[in-house]
Amino acid sequence: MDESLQNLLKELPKKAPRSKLEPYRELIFSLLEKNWRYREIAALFKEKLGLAVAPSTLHNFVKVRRKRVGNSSAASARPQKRTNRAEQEKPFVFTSGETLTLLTKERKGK
Amino acid sequence: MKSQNRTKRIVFSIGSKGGTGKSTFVLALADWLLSQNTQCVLLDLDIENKVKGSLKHFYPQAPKIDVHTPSGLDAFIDYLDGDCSVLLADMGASQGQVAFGWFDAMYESVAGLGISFTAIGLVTDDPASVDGLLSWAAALQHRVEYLVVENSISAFCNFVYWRESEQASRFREIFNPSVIPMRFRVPELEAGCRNHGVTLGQVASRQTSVSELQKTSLVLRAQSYRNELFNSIEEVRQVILP
Repeated sequence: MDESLQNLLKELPKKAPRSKLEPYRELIFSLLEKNWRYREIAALFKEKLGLAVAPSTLHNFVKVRRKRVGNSSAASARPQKRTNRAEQEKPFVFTSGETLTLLTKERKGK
Repeated sequence: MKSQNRTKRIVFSIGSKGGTGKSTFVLALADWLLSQNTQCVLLDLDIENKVKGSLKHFYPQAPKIDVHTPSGLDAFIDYLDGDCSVLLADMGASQGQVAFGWFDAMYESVAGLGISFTAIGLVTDDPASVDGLLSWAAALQHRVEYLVVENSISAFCNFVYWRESEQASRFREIFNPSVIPMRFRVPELEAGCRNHGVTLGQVASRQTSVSELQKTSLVLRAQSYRNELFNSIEEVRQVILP
């Protein structure tokens, strides 16, 4: 990035998180890694943090962040999701009856 | 249904090859949803399948719907109008064109209601099973999330066309599907279940009066298969639940 833009960026204040779950992002992903279910996390939040949140809200929160570029904690949660939007939008082309071509050893290694 | 949030999900089997284990997996999924206390409705859309292979044989209460009608798959929407949050549909092997037409006409409106979709493809050693999955994916594109089940229909399945073909590799690269295994089941159990319309879960929990399926060895096998499948499904719960 250009130096003037970097300076501009430094000056701009960080905006407040859009989701009330943002402060708990790491906790949520860590619990998911420990195989906690969304409804269990929701119950834990209510009991321990006094935060009422629906399991579906948690799910949406995780789903969105898994897709974000460079989100290491999100990317490590399973299943791994694509982070490249261009790739995500790429159409898949296949014609029924097409002969399936087995990959060569070199291409498998890539 | 007025919500704009993703509050409901339609999960349906895809593929143009019969005998890949679509109904078997859908039944296991229904058992899993039941174990999660998730409100779901099961639809049997496979009108071509012979009586003993169809979902209705195992779940008599599952409505059997002929999608070859003008309203076609609108049943998806109607059955989701109630309290259920997941609709599980077992599609027939030759219903691709009907489904593609329905998605082209209805997807935007249905997605706008907060309904998301998961397509389940079963692959085996047979290249036709991979062809079926890829053909559907080429039509459905990114409108659905994909769950691929590697169904070992023999003890030595290597899924070479699914794992090592260029086309399947491209599919994985573009859609990044969730992939889970379905282990080879002993024929005695598989055939007995099919013959009597008994699910794996019913054998596992000893809820069948069929004597040949009450053998302890089969019950233990069924429990092992079910536990394994449940664990696998748990891993991909985010593409099954809303």
